[in-house]
Formats: sequence, C-alpha cells, structure tokens
Amino acid sequence: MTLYIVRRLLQSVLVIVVMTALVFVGVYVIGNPVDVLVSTEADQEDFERMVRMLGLDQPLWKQFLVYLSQLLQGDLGRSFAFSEPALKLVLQRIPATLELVAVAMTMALATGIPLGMYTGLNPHTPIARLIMGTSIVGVSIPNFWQGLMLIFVLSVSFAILPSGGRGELDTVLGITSSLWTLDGWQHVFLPALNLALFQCTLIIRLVRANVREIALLDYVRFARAKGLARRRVVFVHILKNTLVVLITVVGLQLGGLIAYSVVTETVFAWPGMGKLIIDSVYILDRPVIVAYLIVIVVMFITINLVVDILYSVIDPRIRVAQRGEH
Amino acid sequence: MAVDAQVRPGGASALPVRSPVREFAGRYAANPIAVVALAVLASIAVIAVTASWIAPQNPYDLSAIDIRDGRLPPGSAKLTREAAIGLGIVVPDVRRAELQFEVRARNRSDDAPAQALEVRVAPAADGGLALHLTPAANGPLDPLKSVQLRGLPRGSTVSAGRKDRFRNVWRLDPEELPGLSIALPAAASDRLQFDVLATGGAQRHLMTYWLGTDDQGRDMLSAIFYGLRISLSVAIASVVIALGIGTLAGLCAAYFGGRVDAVLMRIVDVQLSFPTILVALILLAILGKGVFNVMLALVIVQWALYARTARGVALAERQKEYVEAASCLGLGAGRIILAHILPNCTPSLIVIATLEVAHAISLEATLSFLGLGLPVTQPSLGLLIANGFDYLLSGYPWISVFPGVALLITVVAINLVGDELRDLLNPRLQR
Repeated sequence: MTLYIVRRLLQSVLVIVVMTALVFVGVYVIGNPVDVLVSTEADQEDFERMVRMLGLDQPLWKQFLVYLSQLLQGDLGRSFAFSEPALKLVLQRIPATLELVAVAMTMALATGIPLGMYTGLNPHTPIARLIMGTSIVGVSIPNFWQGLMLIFVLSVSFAILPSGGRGELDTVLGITSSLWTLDGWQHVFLPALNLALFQCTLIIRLVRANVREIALLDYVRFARAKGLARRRVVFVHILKNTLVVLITVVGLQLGGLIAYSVVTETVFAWPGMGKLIIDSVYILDRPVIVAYLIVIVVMFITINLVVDILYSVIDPRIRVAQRGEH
Repeated sequence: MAVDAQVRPGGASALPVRSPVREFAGRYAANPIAVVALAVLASIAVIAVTASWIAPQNPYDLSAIDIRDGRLPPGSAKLTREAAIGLGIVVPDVRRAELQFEVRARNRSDDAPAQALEVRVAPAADGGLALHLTPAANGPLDPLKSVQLRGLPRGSTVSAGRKDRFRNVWRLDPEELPGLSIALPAAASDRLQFDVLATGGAQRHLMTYWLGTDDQGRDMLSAIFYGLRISLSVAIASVVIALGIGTLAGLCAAYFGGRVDAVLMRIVDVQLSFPTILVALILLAILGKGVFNVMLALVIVQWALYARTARGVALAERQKEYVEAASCLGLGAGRIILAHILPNCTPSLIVIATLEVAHAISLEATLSFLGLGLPVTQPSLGLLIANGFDYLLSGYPWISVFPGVALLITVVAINLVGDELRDLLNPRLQR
C-alpha cells in the first residue's frame, strides 16, 4: 500500500515537472507581452525599459532558470497587468471558484444519483425514457450556450435572478463566502445550475449504466432468487456497489467542474480563477497564465492521486493489479 | 430475471441469404428516433457542403450586406433602397432656354438602367423659367418621394416649394410638380445654373431575413449555413487526424506490448485524467488562437481516447488464432497490424469517432466563444454565438439563440446516431 502511494506520488511529481517545463516553453517562446502592455505612443526607449524590467532581454535558458528557481520559492512573477504577485492573484480567486463548484456538485449529485438509479432499474418505463431523452440533450448542449439561455430566460425575460457577478460576502466561522447571504445565493444559483446540469446528465448516465450492469450480475440474481425484497436488493446489493464507482465519478466530477467553471465563469462574470485565466490570455499576462496553469495542474494531480488511493483502499483488486505489473 | 430467448420476427431464419450490411441497416431502421437523427444529420451535412449555393446571401461579402439592416428581428424583409438622382442643370440663356432630356437610373447595381425622370426647361411668360419634372411611370423614381432644387440665385422663388430656413434649398411638393415655375430676381444674369435632387422608387422586396440579422446587417440564416460548414470541417478534419494517430499508437502498443505499451499507455492515462476542455484551454492559452492551433489542440485532446480503445480491442484480437496464423505465415508486423487486426477494431473505433465529432464541434465552439478558438475570419457557430452575447442582454436575442440552436441540433443528431451505432455494435446488449 505504502509502496503504491509512494509510486503514485513520484509519478505525480514527474508530471508536474514536465508540465511546468512545457508551460514555460510554450508561454515564453510564443507571444510578446510588451506589445500589449506598452501604450501605442511609447517610443523605443520606453519599450526597451519595459523589456528589461520584465527580464525579457535575457536568453531563454536564463529566463527558464530564473523561472525555475522562483517557482521553487513559490514566486511565479508579478502580473504584468496588475503588478501583483501572480500566484497571489490566482490563489485569491480560488475560493470563489470552489464555492461555485461545491454548490454545483451538490446539485448534480442530489439529482443525478436518484434519477440514474431509477432509469437503471426501470429502463423501459416512459418516465425513464423521458429522462434519458432529456439527458441526451443535456449532454449535447454546449455549456456556454446553455448559460446564455439561462441568462436570457431567467435574467432578461423574467428578471428573477441576476445575470452575473458574485453577491454580497459575509464571514461566518472564519470562512468568507457569499453562501452566507441571500444575495449571494441569488448570484450563485444560476452559474451553479449551469455547471451542474451537464455534470448531472453525466452522473445519470454513469449510474444508469452501472446499475444496469450490476443488476445483471449473478449475485443480484442470487439475492433475488433467495427471495429478498426488491427494496433490499436495490438499496443494499445494487446501490452499495454503485457507490464504489461513484467515488471515481465524484473525483472526475470535481476535476470536470473546475475545468468547466472557466466557461461558466466567463459567461456569468463570476470572479473566479477561470475568468482570471481568460482575461489574462486576452492581454497576454504571462505570469498569471503560468501561475494558473501550475495551480490547476497541481490541483488535478492531487485530485487524481486522492481518488486513486481511495479507490485502491476500497477495491483491493486495483492494488493487486498494480503490483502485478512489476 | 427472465431468460431472454427472443426470436426476432423476420430475422435470419426467415431470409436465409441476407448481407451483413442489409441486416445492419434493417436493425438500424427499427429505431425511428435514430432514423430521424440520421436524416437530420444528412441534411446538415448537405447544408454545410452546399452553403455557398443555398445561402440566401454571402454573409462575408461586404457588398451584399447593408449595415442599415443591422439587428432586424427574424422575418424582416430586405428591401431595395430608394433611388436618388442628382442633376446639375445649366441654362445658357434664360430667355431662350429650351432644354429637354431624360435621365436613366437603376435601383440596384445589378438592375438594367431604366428611364427615371424627364426634364423640360422652357422660358416662362414673366421672364422666369418653367420647369417640368416628370417621373417615368413605374421607373426607378416612381413613386417620387422628394425633390429639391439647390443653388438657385438668391432672391428666386419657386412655385409649390418651400425654402429651407437657413440654406439655399427649395423643397418641392411632389404632387405639384407639373407646371412648376421659377421666378428669378431682376438682377439675375441670363445664365442660370442649379441642381435638382430627386429621390423615390418602390421598395422592392429582395429577400426575407428568416432568422433576423446581426449587428452588421448580415443574414443570420446564411451566417449559420457558413458557420456550420466551418464548424463541421474543423471537427471532422481533427477527428480523422486524431483517429489515424491514435489508432496507430494503440495498435502498436497492443501488438508490441512491453515498454512501448507501458510508455504509450502512461501518457494516455495522464492525458485522459485531465478534462479535454482544460487540455485544449491550456494549449490554446499557450499557442494562441488560429485554425491550425485549434485543430492541433483538438487532435491532441482526442488521440489518447482512440489509442486506448484501439489498444483494448486489439489486445483481445491479438490472442485470436487468425493473428497467430498470420504470423506463422511469416507476415510482417505492419501487415498483421494494418491488414488483420485493424479491420476487426473498426466497429468500436467508428462508434467513438462518430461521438467524438459531436464532442469536437462543441469543444471548438466553446473555445471560439471564449476567444481562444478560430479567428474572426473563420466565423464558426461558436463565434456567431459569442458575437450575439453582447446583444442578448439588450433585447436582440436571435443573434446568439439561432446559431446555438443549429449547434445543438447538430450535436444532438450526431449523438443519437452514435448512441444507436454503439448499441447495435455492442455484443453485450444484443439479444
């Protein structure tokens, strides 16, 4: 077990190192931020001063070494646009994103699991067909356009909810969040719904496929043959085994939600990490782009690592398979 | 659990000779939703291919669009603009003036010039000038909307006209044009020079903007047709390239095994552990936008999936006797992989590739919407929606609603077809 965790950890570190190198090469070889930052009236002298200030006159390998040593100290440079430490900028935006993701995840799980169980157990009833028919639209609908339509219907046509931004913040138990205020909930509802809808349809399909598969297995048949009540078979024999899969799903979900929050945040002007990266790409604010990419890679690798370890704790067969490779 | 022992009516036993293709088509046709989806998909493909012929307008030909038609709601008509004629008339001697001529004009650049206005100038009894302006019936100026006389000598008066309070402009009432006379001041010279400006003409109906227009006055229906073409071609091209690369990698991993397999599959694992949108976003954040970069990102995002699928199927195939037989015949690895194993992997790959086209269309649209995808010179559906985003909140919803509907219909149709193919080709679901 320990060996497995250590191996996975080393692997993760390797991936992070490779990613940072790739990110550096990509970002520092292509694009010139000075063009964007210097005003159009600036003369050659201003231009050169800017280049020196940003350290862009150094050879590439030197820039990379500076970048690496700073990286190890947790210094990812200053944002060109805000002249604040880039890492700080990104980290400041994390709570807003996580808040959105948490609300969306709760919404998606609370609706997805029951609906998935139902359609999996009764695949041929009209309601199940309706749910599956709707879910194919849910999977197909482009997330950003769905967001636009939610704004159009609920914010423009009916004017029930605000179209964007984050609501009032409040601090309770040391946690600052907009979820403590009514205004905050009004603002978070629409973007969270937009994020949740796609994930919810995914959960429905995953749970449904899983339930259908498990329902055909011998032990379920046996439980039924034994004369157990349907309710017991469903909630003990099938649900329990579906939940094992759900841990992976939740892990993937978390990643997917963080990734898709970029789109939702842009549509709903939600001040999270996703909006920051898109804004930074527009103005070629390279330190912020790099900081975002590194933060997101670390987040993802951590999530994957935790999911893998949890999975191997729950299902010992995985551990055996991993050991068997060597 | 009932034991499934259904005998399909009209199945293989009823028709002893039936080709696999017809058998497959028959099973596909049994699902009406999938048939409708296939028909929709075929129509979309036809629209995308023939967009430049069937679109009512070339939305990117600046001479075809008119910014004054901007943001018209769906169902509005595109009308011809009013014709306008400006004439400079020189009368060398007012007392002996006898001029008569006709002016030809056209409403649109592709119309033939037609007689528009007949002008006759004659000396009037009181030393003034009689001016007869007769618009040709059904000509480009009929009905006449406004007539102005400009540049008359100071102190002149025009019958049936109103002088502008500040400028030397006389506005004439089109009703009283015949028998118009100009009284000239006593001090005026014999030579007279003035301008006639006339506007008018029937507003002919040219086309209907069934889905409205965007802010530039572009027909949304045409823009969607062209957008479909761009979206589909980018998606299909990237899927084909990724399918080629991924399949080859997966087959090699399965056939050679060992280190090749381990390295390839580790890369695939790492890549598939990140959501596609994120990988594409990172790539484009670094590379910048552009058609090539978007396709590169789509290929990089997708190849791993094909590699994993191809490897999985090929691993199972490799164990089979026909592969053993082929290697016993001394055939090379390349030939065994491509000619023996690959054909047996195609059903699974076709299903995934079909579904991935839908995914690629969505992904490209999302990236374009975020401003990281295609440049404005290649307006895919995602860009059209992005353009309409600003107008959504200000009461012009159709600019982003309709491209989105087109996108949705396309993706749903592809998904339905792909799902049906998967169900038909999946032996586990066959009864």
